[in-house]
Amino acid sequence: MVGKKITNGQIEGALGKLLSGGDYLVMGFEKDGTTIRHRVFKDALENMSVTNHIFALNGSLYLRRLFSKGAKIVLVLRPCEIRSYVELVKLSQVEPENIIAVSVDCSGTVSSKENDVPVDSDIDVLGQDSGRARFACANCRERRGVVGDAGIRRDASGQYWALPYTEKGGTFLSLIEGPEEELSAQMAIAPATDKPDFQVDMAEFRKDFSKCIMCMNCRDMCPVCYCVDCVFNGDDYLPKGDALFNKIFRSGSTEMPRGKELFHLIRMYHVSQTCVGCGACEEACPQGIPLTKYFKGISERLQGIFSYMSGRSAQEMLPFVTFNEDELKDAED
Amino acid sequence: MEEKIEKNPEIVGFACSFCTFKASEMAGSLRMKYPDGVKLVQVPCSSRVDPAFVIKAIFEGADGVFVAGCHPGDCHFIKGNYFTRRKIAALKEQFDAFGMKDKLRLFWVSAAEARRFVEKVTEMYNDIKDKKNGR
Repeated sequence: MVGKKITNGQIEGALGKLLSGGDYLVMGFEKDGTTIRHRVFKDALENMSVTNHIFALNGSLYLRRLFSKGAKIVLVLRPCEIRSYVELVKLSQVEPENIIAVSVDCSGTVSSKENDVPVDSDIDVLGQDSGRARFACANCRERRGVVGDAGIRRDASGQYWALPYTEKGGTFLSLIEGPEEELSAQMAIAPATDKPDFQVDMAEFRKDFSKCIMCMNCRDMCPVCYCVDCVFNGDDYLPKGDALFNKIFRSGSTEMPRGKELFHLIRMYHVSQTCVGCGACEEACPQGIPLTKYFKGISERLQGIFSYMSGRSAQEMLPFVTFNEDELKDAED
Repeated sequence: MEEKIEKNPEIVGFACSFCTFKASEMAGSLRMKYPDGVKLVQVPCSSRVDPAFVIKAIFEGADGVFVAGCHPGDCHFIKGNYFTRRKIAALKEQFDAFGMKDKLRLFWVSAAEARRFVEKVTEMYNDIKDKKNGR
Protein backbone atom coordinates (compact mmCIF):
# COMPACT_ATOMS: atom_id res chain seq x y z
CA MET A 1 0.00 0.00 0.00
CA VAL A 2 1.20 3.45 -0.95
CA GLY A 3 0.83 6.40 1.38
CA LYS A 4 2.41 9.62 2.47
CA LYS A 5 4.51 10.23 5.53
CA ILE A 6 3.17 13.11 7.55
CA THR A 7 4.90 15.31 10.02
CA ASN A 8 3.45 17.41 12.78
CA GLY A 9 0.99 19.97 11.51
CA GLN A 10 0.66 18.62 7.97
CA ILE A 11 -2.82 17.23 8.49
CA GLU A 12 -3.95 20.50 10.04
CA GLY A 13 -2.32 22.35 7.10
CA ALA A 14 -4.13 20.22 4.53
CA LEU A 15 -7.48 20.58 6.29
CA GLY A 16 -6.88 24.31 6.72
CA LYS A 17 -6.48 24.59 2.96
CA LEU A 18 -9.86 22.93 2.46
CA LEU A 19 -11.55 25.15 5.03
CA SER A 20 -10.15 28.38 3.64
CA GLY A 21 -11.90 27.59 0.36
CA GLY A 22 -15.17 28.00 2.23
CA ASP A 23 -16.96 24.92 0.85
CA TYR A 24 -15.89 22.36 3.37
CA LEU A 25 -16.54 21.69 7.02
CA VAL A 26 -14.26 19.56 9.14
CA MET A 27 -15.57 17.43 11.94
CA GLY A 28 -12.94 16.41 14.44
CA PHE A 29 -11.80 17.00 17.97
CA GLU A 30 -10.92 20.23 19.69
CA LYS A 31 -8.39 20.13 22.49
CA ASP A 32 -8.50 22.93 24.98
CA GLY A 33 -6.13 22.32 27.85
CA THR A 34 -7.24 19.02 29.33
CA THR A 35 -10.78 19.07 27.91
CA ILE A 36 -11.32 17.49 24.55
CA ARG A 37 -14.56 17.28 22.62
CA HIS A 38 -16.10 17.02 19.18
CA ARG A 39 -16.21 20.16 17.09
CA VAL A 40 -17.29 21.01 13.57
CA PHE A 41 -14.80 23.51 12.23
CA LYS A 42 -15.75 26.19 9.72
CA ASP A 43 -13.33 28.69 8.14
CA ALA A 44 -10.35 27.86 10.36
CA LEU A 45 -8.96 25.07 12.49
CA GLU A 46 -8.32 26.07 16.05
CA ASN A 47 -6.79 23.71 18.60
CA MET A 48 -7.63 20.71 16.47
CA SER A 49 -6.56 17.34 17.78
CA VAL A 50 -6.32 14.34 15.50
CA THR A 51 -6.59 11.80 18.30
CA ASN A 52 -8.88 11.73 21.29
CA HIS A 53 -8.34 9.38 24.19
CA ILE A 54 -11.45 10.32 26.11
CA PHE A 55 -14.73 8.80 24.97
CA ALA A 56 -17.93 10.66 25.76
CA LEU A 57 -20.07 9.79 22.73
CA ASN A 58 -19.82 8.50 19.21
CA GLY A 59 -19.52 11.42 16.79
CA SER A 60 -21.46 9.80 13.97
CA LEU A 61 -24.56 10.37 16.10
CA TYR A 62 -24.62 13.88 14.61
CA LEU A 63 -24.54 12.55 11.04
CA ARG A 64 -27.91 10.79 11.16
CA ARG A 65 -30.37 12.18 8.66
CA LEU A 66 -27.71 14.12 6.76
CA PHE A 67 -29.24 13.92 3.31
CA SER A 68 -27.90 17.07 1.67
CA LYS A 69 -25.94 16.14 -1.44
CA GLY A 70 -24.09 19.45 -1.25
CA ALA A 71 -22.71 18.92 2.26
CA LYS A 72 -18.95 18.83 1.91
CA ILE A 73 -17.55 17.48 5.13
CA VAL A 74 -14.27 15.91 6.15
CA LEU A 75 -14.58 13.61 9.14
CA VAL A 76 -11.40 13.04 11.11
CA LEU A 77 -12.60 10.62 13.74
CA ARG A 78 -11.82 7.39 15.57
CA PRO A 79 -12.27 4.06 13.72
CA CYS A 80 -15.43 3.18 15.68
CA GLU A 81 -17.00 6.48 14.68
CA ILE A 82 -16.09 6.02 11.01
CA ARG A 83 -17.44 2.46 11.13
CA SER A 84 -20.79 3.61 12.42
CA TYR A 85 -20.77 6.34 9.73
CA VAL A 86 -20.29 3.59 7.12
CA GLU A 87 -23.21 1.66 8.62
CA LEU A 88 -25.39 4.78 8.50
CA VAL A 89 -24.48 5.19 4.83
CA LYS A 90 -25.69 1.63 4.19
CA LEU A 91 -28.87 2.37 6.10
CA SER A 92 -29.47 5.47 3.90
CA GLN A 93 -29.16 7.79 6.86
CA VAL A 94 -26.22 9.72 5.41
CA GLU A 95 -25.67 10.90 1.86
CA PRO A 96 -21.97 10.13 1.42
CA GLU A 97 -21.41 11.86 -1.93
CA ASN A 98 -19.27 14.73 -0.67
CA ILE A 99 -18.17 13.35 2.66
CA ILE A 100 -14.56 12.26 3.12
CA ALA A 101 -14.24 9.96 6.10
CA VAL A 102 -10.75 9.72 7.58
CA SER A 103 -10.17 7.20 10.34
CA VAL A 104 -7.32 7.74 12.74
CA ASP A 105 -5.47 4.94 14.56
CA CYS A 106 -6.85 4.72 18.08
CA SER A 107 -4.98 3.00 20.85
CA GLY A 108 -7.93 3.02 23.24
CA THR A 109 -9.87 5.54 25.25
CA VAL A 110 -10.85 6.14 28.86
CA SER A 111 -14.36 6.99 29.95
CA SER A 112 -15.30 10.65 30.13
CA LYS A 113 -16.86 9.89 33.52
CA GLU A 114 -13.38 9.37 34.97
CA ASN A 115 -11.13 12.20 36.00
CA ASP A 116 -8.05 10.37 34.87
CA VAL A 117 -6.84 12.10 31.70
CA PRO A 118 -4.36 10.07 29.67
CA VAL A 119 -1.14 11.85 28.73
CA ASP A 120 0.70 11.29 25.45
CA SER A 121 3.08 8.76 26.99
CA ASP A 122 0.30 6.32 27.97
CA ILE A 123 -1.45 6.20 24.64
CA ASP A 124 0.51 3.19 23.44
CA VAL A 125 -0.46 0.99 26.33
CA LEU A 126 -4.01 2.23 26.87
CA GLY A 127 -5.58 -0.39 24.63
CA GLN A 128 -3.82 -3.29 26.31
CA ASP A 129 -4.35 -2.02 29.84
CA SER A 130 -7.90 -3.14 30.39
CA GLY A 131 -7.89 -1.71 33.90
CA ARG A 132 -7.78 1.80 32.52
CA ALA A 133 -9.27 1.67 29.07
CA ARG A 134 -13.02 1.28 28.69
CA PHE A 135 -14.31 -2.27 28.28
CA ALA A 136 -15.26 -1.50 24.68
CA CYS A 137 -11.73 -0.31 23.87
CA ALA A 138 -9.94 -3.14 25.66
CA ASN A 139 -12.01 -5.57 23.55
CA CYS A 140 -12.10 -3.50 20.36
CA ARG A 141 -12.32 -5.32 17.05
CA GLU A 142 -10.77 -2.59 14.91
CA ARG A 143 -8.44 -0.07 16.44
CA ARG A 144 -6.60 0.53 13.20
CA GLY A 145 -7.46 3.43 10.94
CA VAL A 146 -8.28 1.15 8.01
CA VAL A 147 -11.92 2.08 7.49
CA GLY A 148 -13.53 4.92 5.57
CA ASP A 149 -12.06 6.78 2.61
CA ALA A 150 -8.62 7.40 4.06
CA GLY A 151 -6.68 6.54 7.17
CA ILE A 152 -4.11 8.14 9.39
CA ARG A 153 -1.93 5.42 10.79
CA ARG A 154 1.14 5.23 12.97
CA ASP A 155 3.97 2.80 12.34
CA ALA A 156 6.08 1.10 14.97
CA SER A 157 8.67 3.88 14.99
CA GLY A 158 6.05 6.54 15.75
CA GLN A 159 5.94 7.96 12.20
CA TYR A 160 2.44 8.95 11.05
CA TRP A 161 1.19 7.95 7.61
CA ALA A 162 -1.79 9.03 5.55
CA LEU A 163 -3.26 6.26 3.42
CA PRO A 164 -5.99 6.48 0.77
CA TYR A 165 -8.58 3.68 0.52
CA THR A 166 -10.97 5.15 -2.05
CA GLU A 167 -10.99 7.82 -4.74
CA LYS A 168 -12.25 10.41 -2.29
CA GLY A 169 -9.43 9.47 0.02
CA GLY A 170 -7.02 10.14 -2.86
CA THR A 171 -8.41 13.66 -3.12
CA PHE A 172 -7.70 14.17 0.56
CA LEU A 173 -4.20 12.79 0.17
CA SER A 174 -3.40 15.08 -2.73
CA LEU A 175 -3.73 18.03 -0.33
CA ILE A 176 -0.85 16.73 1.73
CA GLU A 177 2.58 17.68 0.45
CA GLY A 178 5.32 15.13 0.03
CA PRO A 179 6.09 12.10 -2.10
CA GLU A 180 4.11 8.87 -2.07
CA GLU A 181 6.04 6.06 -0.47
CA GLU A 182 5.61 2.35 0.12
CA LEU A 183 4.25 1.78 3.61
CA SER A 184 6.62 0.16 6.08
CA ALA A 185 5.33 -3.21 7.18
CA GLN A 186 5.31 -2.85 10.93
CA MET A 187 2.44 -0.76 12.24
CA ALA A 188 1.96 0.36 15.83
CA ILE A 189 -1.47 -1.20 16.17
CA ALA A 190 -1.94 -4.81 15.16
CA PRO A 191 -5.24 -6.35 14.05
CA ALA A 192 -7.42 -7.58 16.88
CA THR A 193 -7.39 -11.25 17.78
CA ASP A 194 -10.52 -13.39 17.72
CA LYS A 195 -12.37 -13.77 20.97
CA PRO A 196 -14.42 -16.77 22.09
CA ASP A 197 -18.17 -16.59 21.50
CA PHE A 198 -20.13 -14.60 24.03
CA GLN A 199 -22.16 -16.77 26.39
CA VAL A 200 -24.20 -15.77 29.40
CA ASP A 201 -27.25 -17.05 31.23
CA MET A 202 -30.54 -15.31 31.83
CA ALA A 203 -29.97 -15.11 35.59
CA GLU A 204 -26.83 -13.04 35.14
CA PHE A 205 -28.53 -10.93 32.50
CA ARG A 206 -31.45 -10.23 34.82
CA LYS A 207 -29.10 -9.31 37.65
CA ASP A 208 -27.05 -6.92 35.50
CA PHE A 209 -30.12 -5.21 34.09
CA SER A 210 -32.08 -5.09 37.35
CA LYS A 211 -30.76 -1.56 37.89
CA CYS A 212 -32.18 -0.32 34.59
CA ILE A 213 -34.53 2.64 34.95
CA MET A 214 -35.70 2.57 31.31
CA CYS A 215 -34.51 6.09 30.58
CA MET A 216 -33.56 4.88 27.07
CA ASN A 217 -30.40 6.96 27.01
CA CYS A 218 -28.65 3.92 25.56
CA ARG A 219 -31.04 3.99 22.60
CA ASP A 220 -30.81 7.73 22.15
CA MET A 221 -27.02 7.85 22.21
CA CYS A 222 -26.49 4.78 20.04
CA PRO A 223 -25.14 6.01 16.69
CA VAL A 224 -26.75 3.21 14.69
CA CYS A 225 -30.10 2.99 16.52
CA TYR A 226 -31.56 5.43 14.06
CA CYS A 227 -35.30 4.70 13.64
CA VAL A 228 -37.37 7.88 13.94
CA ASP A 229 -40.39 5.78 14.84
CA CYS A 230 -38.86 3.37 17.34
CA VAL A 231 -40.96 0.32 18.28
CA PHE A 232 -40.64 1.33 21.93
CA ASN A 233 -42.43 4.61 21.37
CA GLY A 234 -46.14 4.16 21.88
CA ASP A 235 -47.96 1.47 23.83
CA ASP A 236 -47.24 -1.67 21.82
CA TYR A 237 -44.15 -2.91 23.61
CA LEU A 238 -43.91 -0.72 26.68
CA PRO A 239 -47.44 0.26 27.71
CA LYS A 240 -48.01 3.30 29.86
CA GLY A 241 -51.06 4.77 31.55
CA ASP A 242 -54.36 3.18 30.48
CA ALA A 243 -52.71 0.57 28.32
CA LEU A 244 -50.49 -0.48 31.22
CA PHE A 245 -53.28 -0.73 33.77
CA ASN A 246 -55.54 -2.62 31.38
CA LYS A 247 -52.69 -5.06 30.89
CA ILE A 248 -52.18 -5.49 34.64
CA PHE A 249 -55.92 -6.17 35.11
CA ARG A 250 -55.68 -8.86 32.44
CA SER A 251 -52.40 -10.50 33.41
CA GLY A 252 -51.55 -9.79 37.05
CA SER A 253 -49.09 -7.85 39.13
CA THR A 254 -45.90 -6.56 37.59
CA GLU A 255 -42.60 -5.04 38.61
CA MET A 256 -41.92 -1.46 37.64
CA PRO A 257 -40.32 -0.33 35.43
CA ARG A 258 -41.76 -3.02 33.24
CA GLY A 259 -40.14 -4.69 30.24
CA LYS A 260 -36.45 -4.14 30.98
CA GLU A 261 -35.32 -7.46 29.52
CA LEU A 262 -37.74 -7.10 26.63
CA PHE A 263 -36.39 -3.67 25.74
CA HIS A 264 -32.75 -4.64 25.88
CA LEU A 265 -33.12 -7.98 24.10
CA ILE A 266 -35.12 -6.44 21.27
CA ARG A 267 -32.75 -3.51 20.93
CA MET A 268 -29.83 -5.93 21.03
CA TYR A 269 -31.34 -7.81 18.11
CA HIS A 270 -32.27 -4.70 16.15
CA VAL A 271 -28.77 -3.25 16.27
CA SER A 272 -27.01 -6.62 16.08
CA GLN A 273 -25.82 -6.33 12.49
CA THR A 274 -24.83 -2.68 12.70
CA CYS A 275 -23.45 -2.42 16.24
CA VAL A 276 -19.81 -1.35 16.09
CA GLY A 277 -19.19 -1.97 19.77
CA CYS A 278 -18.20 1.62 20.51
CA GLY A 279 -19.67 1.58 24.01
CA ALA A 280 -21.60 4.85 23.66
CA CYS A 281 -24.60 3.13 25.30
CA GLU A 282 -22.61 2.26 28.39
CA GLU A 283 -21.19 5.77 28.52
CA ALA A 284 -24.72 7.18 28.43
CA CYS A 285 -26.12 4.81 31.08
CA PRO A 286 -26.77 6.61 34.36
CA GLN A 287 -26.92 3.30 36.25
CA GLY A 288 -23.57 1.93 35.14
CA ILE A 289 -24.98 -1.22 33.53
CA PRO A 290 -22.30 -3.17 31.59
CA LEU A 291 -24.18 -2.75 28.30
CA THR A 292 -21.15 -3.09 26.03
CA LYS A 293 -20.47 -6.60 27.28
CA TYR A 294 -23.88 -7.73 26.04
CA PHE A 295 -24.35 -5.60 22.94
CA LYS A 296 -20.82 -6.13 21.66
CA GLY A 297 -20.79 -9.84 22.48
CA ILE A 298 -24.16 -10.51 20.85
CA SER A 299 -23.43 -8.37 17.79
CA GLU A 300 -20.14 -10.15 17.17
CA ARG A 301 -21.83 -13.53 17.40
CA LEU A 302 -24.70 -12.53 15.13
CA GLN A 303 -22.43 -10.89 12.57
CA GLY A 304 -20.22 -13.97 12.70
CA ILE A 305 -22.97 -16.18 11.20
CA PHE A 306 -22.88 -14.11 8.02
CA SER A 307 -19.09 -13.45 8.10
CA TYR A 308 -19.97 -9.79 8.29
CA MET A 309 -18.28 -7.04 10.23
CA SER A 310 -20.11 -3.79 10.72
CA GLY A 311 -18.45 -0.81 9.09
CA ARG A 312 -15.62 -2.79 7.53
CA SER A 313 -16.50 -1.85 3.98
CA ALA A 314 -19.16 0.27 2.31
CA GLN A 315 -19.53 -2.37 -0.42
CA GLU A 316 -20.63 -5.19 1.90
CA MET A 317 -24.42 -5.49 2.07
CA LEU A 318 -26.21 -5.56 5.40
CA PRO A 319 -26.90 -9.26 6.11
CA PHE A 320 -30.64 -8.78 6.61
CA VAL A 321 -31.25 -7.16 3.23
CA THR A 322 -29.59 -9.87 1.21
CA PHE A 323 -29.40 -13.67 1.14
CA ASN A 324 -27.87 -16.69 -0.57
CA GLU A 325 -30.26 -19.37 -1.69
CA ASP A 326 -27.87 -22.06 -0.58
CA GLU A 327 -27.02 -21.32 3.04
CA LEU A 328 -28.03 -21.98 6.66
CA LYS A 329 -29.06 -25.58 6.03
CA ASP A 330 -29.40 -26.23 9.75
CA ALA A 331 -31.71 -23.27 10.44
CA GLU A 332 -34.82 -25.43 10.27
CA ASP A 333 -35.77 -27.62 13.24
CA MET B 1 -50.99 -38.50 48.29
CA GLU B 2 -51.22 -35.21 46.52
CA GLU B 3 -51.76 -35.52 42.84
CA LYS B 4 -49.19 -33.79 40.77
CA ILE B 5 -50.73 -31.16 38.52
CA GLU B 6 -49.57 -31.26 34.94
CA LYS B 7 -48.36 -27.91 33.72
CA ASN B 8 -49.41 -27.22 30.18
CA PRO B 9 -47.27 -24.92 28.09
CA GLU B 10 -48.51 -22.17 25.83
CA ILE B 11 -46.89 -21.96 22.43
CA VAL B 12 -47.27 -19.08 20.03
CA GLY B 13 -46.79 -19.85 16.37
CA PHE B 14 -46.37 -17.33 13.59
CA ALA B 15 -47.73 -19.05 10.52
CA CYS B 16 -47.47 -17.90 6.92
CA SER B 17 -51.00 -17.51 5.53
CA PHE B 18 -50.08 -19.19 2.24
CA CYS B 19 -48.62 -22.43 3.53
CA THR B 20 -48.41 -23.19 7.23
CA PHE B 21 -51.72 -21.59 8.09
CA LYS B 22 -53.34 -23.40 5.17
CA ALA B 23 -51.75 -26.62 6.42
CA SER B 24 -53.26 -26.04 9.84
CA GLU B 25 -56.69 -25.50 8.24
CA MET B 26 -56.24 -28.69 6.27
CA ALA B 27 -55.28 -30.51 9.47
CA GLY B 28 -58.56 -29.27 10.92
CA SER B 29 -60.63 -30.46 7.98
CA LEU B 30 -58.89 -33.85 8.12
CA ARG B 31 -59.87 -34.06 11.83
CA MET B 32 -56.23 -34.26 12.92
CA LYS B 33 -55.57 -33.09 16.45
CA TYR B 34 -52.77 -30.91 17.64
CA PRO B 35 -52.28 -29.65 21.22
CA ASP B 36 -54.64 -26.96 22.53
CA GLY B 37 -51.71 -24.90 23.84
CA VAL B 38 -50.57 -24.03 20.34
CA LYS B 39 -51.86 -20.61 19.37
CA LEU B 40 -51.37 -19.61 15.77
CA VAL B 41 -50.94 -16.07 14.56
CA GLN B 42 -51.56 -15.64 10.87
CA VAL B 43 -49.00 -13.48 9.11
CA PRO B 44 -48.98 -12.57 5.41
CA CYS B 45 -45.47 -13.97 5.01
CA SER B 46 -43.04 -15.49 7.46
CA SER B 47 -40.70 -12.56 6.83
CA ARG B 48 -43.38 -10.30 8.31
CA VAL B 49 -42.27 -11.65 11.68
CA ASP B 50 -40.01 -9.09 13.27
CA PRO B 51 -37.91 -10.98 15.83
CA ALA B 52 -39.25 -8.40 18.28
CA PHE B 53 -42.60 -10.26 18.07
CA VAL B 54 -40.89 -13.46 19.14
CA ILE B 55 -39.08 -11.83 22.05
CA LYS B 56 -42.26 -10.06 23.11
CA ALA B 57 -44.25 -13.30 23.01
CA ILE B 58 -41.70 -14.96 25.28
CA PHE B 59 -41.63 -12.13 27.80
CA GLU B 60 -45.42 -11.91 27.83
CA GLY B 61 -45.56 -15.51 29.00
CA ALA B 62 -45.29 -17.91 26.07
CA ASP B 63 -43.23 -21.01 26.81
CA GLY B 64 -42.15 -21.42 23.24
CA VAL B 65 -42.46 -19.69 19.90
CA PHE B 66 -42.24 -21.07 16.41
CA VAL B 67 -42.05 -19.31 13.11
CA ALA B 68 -43.27 -21.32 10.15
CA GLY B 69 -43.27 -20.55 6.46
CA CYS B 70 -43.03 -22.08 3.03
CA HIS B 71 -40.08 -24.20 2.01
CA PRO B 72 -37.16 -22.08 0.72
CA GLY B 73 -37.84 -21.26 -2.90
CA ASP B 74 -41.63 -21.65 -2.62
CA CYS B 75 -42.44 -18.23 -1.14
CA HIS B 76 -45.53 -16.54 -2.52
CA PHE B 77 -43.56 -13.29 -2.49
CA ILE B 78 -40.62 -15.01 -4.27
CA LYS B 79 -37.92 -14.52 -1.64
CA GLY B 80 -39.54 -13.65 1.68
CA ASN B 81 -38.59 -16.84 3.46
CA TYR B 82 -34.90 -16.46 2.60
CA PHE B 83 -34.98 -13.30 4.70
CA THR B 84 -36.88 -15.15 7.42
CA ARG B 85 -34.20 -17.80 7.46
CA ARG B 86 -31.46 -15.22 8.01
CA LYS B 87 -33.41 -13.31 10.63
CA ILE B 88 -34.49 -16.35 12.62
CA ALA B 89 -31.05 -17.97 12.39
CA ALA B 90 -29.59 -14.81 13.91
CA LEU B 91 -32.29 -14.73 16.59
CA LYS B 92 -31.56 -18.36 17.44
CA GLU B 93 -27.91 -17.46 17.82
CA GLN B 94 -28.90 -14.69 20.22
CA PHE B 95 -31.14 -17.05 22.21
CA ASP B 96 -28.30 -19.55 22.25
CA ALA B 97 -26.03 -16.95 23.82
CA PHE B 98 -28.60 -16.46 26.59
CA GLY B 99 -29.14 -20.20 27.05
CA MET B 100 -32.77 -20.30 25.88
CA LYS B 101 -32.35 -21.82 22.47
CA ASP B 102 -35.06 -24.44 23.10
CA LYS B 103 -37.76 -21.75 23.14
CA LEU B 104 -37.60 -20.94 19.45
CA ARG B 105 -38.09 -23.11 16.40
CA LEU B 106 -38.30 -22.52 12.68
CA PHE B 107 -40.34 -24.86 10.45
CA TRP B 108 -40.93 -25.11 6.75
CA VAL B 109 -44.38 -26.53 6.14
CA SER B 110 -46.15 -26.32 2.79
CA ALA B 111 -49.94 -26.05 2.36
CA ALA B 112 -50.21 -29.77 1.55
CA GLU B 113 -48.26 -30.99 4.56
CA ALA B 114 -50.97 -31.12 7.21
CA ARG B 115 -49.52 -34.25 8.76
CA ARG B 116 -46.03 -32.75 8.93
CA PHE B 117 -47.47 -29.64 10.58
CA VAL B 118 -49.18 -31.69 13.26
CA GLU B 119 -46.06 -33.78 13.86
CA LYS B 120 -43.76 -30.79 14.14
CA VAL B 121 -46.06 -28.85 16.43
CA THR B 122 -46.81 -31.84 18.67
CA GLU B 123 -43.13 -32.66 18.96
CA MET B 124 -42.30 -29.12 20.00
CA TYR B 125 -45.21 -29.04 22.44
CA ASN B 126 -44.19 -32.30 24.07
CA ASP B 127 -40.54 -31.29 24.37
CA ILE B 128 -41.47 -28.04 26.08
CA LYS B 129 -44.06 -29.75 28.28
CA ASP B 130 -41.51 -32.32 29.43
CA LYS B 131 -39.06 -29.59 30.31
CA LYS B 132 -41.71 -27.59 32.12
CA ASN B 133 -42.77 -30.56 34.22
CA GLY B 134 -39.17 -31.36 35.04
CA ARG B 135 -38.93 -34.60 33.12
